[in-house]
This record gives sequence, structure tokens and C-alpha cells, in this order.
Amino acid sequence: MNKELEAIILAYEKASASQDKEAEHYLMAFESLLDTVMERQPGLSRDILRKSVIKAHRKWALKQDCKPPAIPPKA
Amino acid sequence: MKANSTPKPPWWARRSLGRTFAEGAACVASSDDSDVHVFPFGLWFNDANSRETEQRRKVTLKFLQINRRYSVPITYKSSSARFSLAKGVRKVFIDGMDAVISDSRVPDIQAQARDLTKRQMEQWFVWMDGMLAIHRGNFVFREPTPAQLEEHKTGLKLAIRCCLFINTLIADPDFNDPDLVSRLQVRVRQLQDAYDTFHDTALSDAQAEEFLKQVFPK
Repeated sequence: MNKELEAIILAYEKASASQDKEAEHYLMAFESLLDTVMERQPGLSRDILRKSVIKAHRKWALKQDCKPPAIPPKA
Repeated sequence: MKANSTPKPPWWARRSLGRTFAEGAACVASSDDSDVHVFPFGLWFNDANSRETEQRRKVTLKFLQINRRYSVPITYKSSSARFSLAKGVRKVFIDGMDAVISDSRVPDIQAQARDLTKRQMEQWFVWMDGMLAIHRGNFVFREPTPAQLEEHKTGLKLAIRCCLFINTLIADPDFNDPDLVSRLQVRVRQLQDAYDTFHDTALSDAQAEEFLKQVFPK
């Protein structure tokens, strides 16, 4: 996997795993990494870039050995 | 009547409504003399000629209709001379409460509404965070079944819709709580991302993969 993409995915993972103010902080970090990519390739659609990274994050998550606990449906 | 005196509400008001609720309450009665009610917002009608009073009367009666459980029998007789039951045409009131009505300021309804909204917001945040935890634990890191995905879609749609509805309330300039707005926006963003992960029809998984290959070549 491309190192830059991996760094963005990990930044999103932090935002996804946190809540409230902490999530806000990590989301800003994630967005700034997307901005960096956009600056380098101005013709890109930011929305598509964002959604693509989030889908890539999900693929990354499925490959992880350490998973967060599943919550029962009735919880 | 002493202008500055603040008499305690009668025992039945304290017993049936609780101390905070009863303090400063105005006592009003339905026109059929069947019930006495405590109305918590200090609305009062005594002058049947005033248009404002008439409006208050309508509001009060509406309140009474939906708060029948707060009613107490008209047969109330106070052991204290301070609170005596007085009757007039189409109205009954407790004399002793006049002082409360005269002295008490109009309750800070805006502050009360703000506090209530904030408490409700905290509950919404807990609920939304719970949804996000389920999304993460059961869907992102695991393969859900089609039925679970359908529930996921429905739940997230509802959560996002609720967020947008709440946002219209707290984004009002009069509410003026940027911190609360910011905390809600974070949830909106997270919930939308959760939705898009599985249910965004505009971008398929294959398209996303191809896009990333172009932007991030190995």
C-alpha cells in the first residue's frame, strides 16, 4: 500500500475510534492530510477522494487482527 | 398584602408538584369550580377585559387540559389564614398566592429552555456515539449480513435526520452556543461517513479503488 495513503487511512482510523472533542481533533488532522493531497493534485474531486479513503479504511479494517468488540444488536 | 413578602406555596402544591416546581407558581382554577391547578409559569388571569389576559387564559386552560394530574380538589381548606380560598366569577384563586405572583419575576424561560436543550443534546450525543460504536464494531471491522446492512442504513438515516433537525434548533443565533454546534457537526460528519461507507450509490467500491490507484500509485 502507498505510504501516504496508509497514513491517511490511519488518520481516519483515529478519528473513527474517538468521540466528541477528540474526534474533532483527529478529523481535522485527517482533513488536513486530504488537503495536502488536493494541493498536489488540484484537479481531484475532494468528495470522491474522501469517500474513497473511507472505503479503503474499511478494507484495511477487515484485515486487522485486533478488532474492536462487536456490540450485540439488542445493546 | 406585603409587597416584598414571599409566602411559601401551600402544602399541597409542594406535595404534588415538588418544591422547585411549586415555588413561584400561580394558582388558577377551571371555570367549572371542579379543580384547582397550579400553573408553573406565572401566567395569571384576573382581569377578564384585557386581551392579553384572555390570551393567557387560553394558554392556561390549554395547559390545564394536558396537566390534569396536577389538579387537587377544590375542597382545599388551609389551616393557615394566610392561604384562603377565594372564589369569583369564572375564577378561583388562593389569596396567599397573590404575593407570589406580584413579587416573583417572570421566570427566565429562555435559560430554562437552554438548559433543557443542553441536557437533551447530551442524551442525543450518547445515542449517536452508541450508533457509531455499533457501526464500527459490527460493520467496519466485520462482515455484516444483508439484513444487518439494511438495519444499518435505516438507523443511520434516522440518526442523520435527527442531527439535522437538532442543528436547526441550536444553530439559531439566539441560542449562541458554538461549542454545542461544533460537537454536533462532528457527529454529523461521522454518521455521514458511516453511511457512505456502505450505502453511497454514487461511488462503488471498484470505482473508489481505481481512483485511489491513480492518486496514490505504488
